[in-house]
Amino acid sequence: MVLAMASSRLQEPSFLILTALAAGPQHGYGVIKDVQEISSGAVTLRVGTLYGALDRLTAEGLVELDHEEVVDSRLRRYYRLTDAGGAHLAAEASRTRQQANTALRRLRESGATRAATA
Amino acid sequence: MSGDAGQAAQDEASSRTAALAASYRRILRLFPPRYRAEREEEMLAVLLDCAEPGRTTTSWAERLDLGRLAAVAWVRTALGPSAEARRDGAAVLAILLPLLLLFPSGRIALAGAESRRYHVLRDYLLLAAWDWPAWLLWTGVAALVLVGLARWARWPAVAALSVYVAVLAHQLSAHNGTSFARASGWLLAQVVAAALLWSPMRAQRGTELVRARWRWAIAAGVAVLSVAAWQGVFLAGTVYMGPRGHGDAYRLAAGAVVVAGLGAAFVWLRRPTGRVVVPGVAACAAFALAVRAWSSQLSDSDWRSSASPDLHLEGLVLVVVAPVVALLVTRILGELIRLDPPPRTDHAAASSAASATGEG
Repeated sequence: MVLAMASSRLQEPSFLILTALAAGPQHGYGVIKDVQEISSGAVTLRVGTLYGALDRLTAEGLVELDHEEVVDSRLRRYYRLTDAGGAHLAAEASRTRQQANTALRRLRESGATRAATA
Repeated sequence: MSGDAGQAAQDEASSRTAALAASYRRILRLFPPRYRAEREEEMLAVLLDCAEPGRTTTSWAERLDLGRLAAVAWVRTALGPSAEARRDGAAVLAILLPLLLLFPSGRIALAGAESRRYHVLRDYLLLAAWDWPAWLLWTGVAALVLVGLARWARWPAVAALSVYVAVLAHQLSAHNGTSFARASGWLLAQVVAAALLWSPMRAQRGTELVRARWRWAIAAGVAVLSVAAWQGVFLAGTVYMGPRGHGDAYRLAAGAVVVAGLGAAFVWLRRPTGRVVVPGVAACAAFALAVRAWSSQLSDSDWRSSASPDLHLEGLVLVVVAPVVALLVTRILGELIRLDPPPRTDHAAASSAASATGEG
């Protein structure tokens, strides 16, 4: 079941959350800040979006609870990537890179064609 | 002086934070109780961390965002109990659902007894013929599941289902569409039970439902009780009750059973396995009742005349919607009255330890 779910493609928020957790365990607020940084400010996760994605990724076995601590009377729960989560992120990153490379190559080729015909 | 000003600013900031936290908590009350117990403190901390300084109320965007997540959480709560509870519940359903066939079997036998003055009892026995073999086969299935032979139980389950489908198909071909529609609920119960048995995960679970030393005793008990119960209903109808007035006694007994069943279902809903079994039974019952209501709208001419098929679409929609509504309502009710506490977090443990130390 987990494998079947994990074989599905990641949406952008999930991809970015897994990318943030690839550096090590982080709490919710840390993930939001990290995602903002990874996306160069293009993506700001809302709290509902973050926890919706975390619920889904946890159910799929891609993310798990690492530990929790209380800072200034506030509960911080740290999440980490599982082995399956790391493998899935790697596969997804590779697929995205392949698609991006193809897009760039075709743009270069069509640019060269346009230059030749001009 | 500057110290007082600093203290005042600090007090102002903390009162604003408290107001904002209260505002967030009001929205978080929208979530299912279990979800709140697990996530509320954590989410509140993240919401407060993300909020711009000085804010005292939530924004519309945050309300919509959290409202959407609350709706998703309720849907997941309604549809997804834990995997372990699903396995246990499925195994219980595979045993329980087909045994409910006792009801139509006994009822038809009783109908034969009630009308013996006017009809030949043998006709009613023949009318009930499709229930009995199926029911007896399902009794064997239940016994096999209980002794841990769930894989073997699949075959008599398929046989029972085949017998039932064959006779129902015969009924339909004989233009007895109303009988077919009224038996659809029992058919669904058997299809669900058979599907649960054919799922490898469910079938394996049967061996863990009952402790080894009790399995044979319980299986024998189910078999004896089933046969005895059927005999009891049959004899009650044919021997002990007279041709007049005994229908009331039967209805009274049936009503008592229904009330007791509803009470037991309510109590069982508070347990994880019950939160799978009760909604499953409720969905099947809702389907059966909806089909029955729908079939009562259909006159014989509707089934026999292909020229003007009036299917009463609102009844057909009810057949689809009623089981889903019954499933969701019982699942949500179970979630609201559940007994098992949410998993204890380190934070909760630390809080209670701190309060215990303070008290000491």
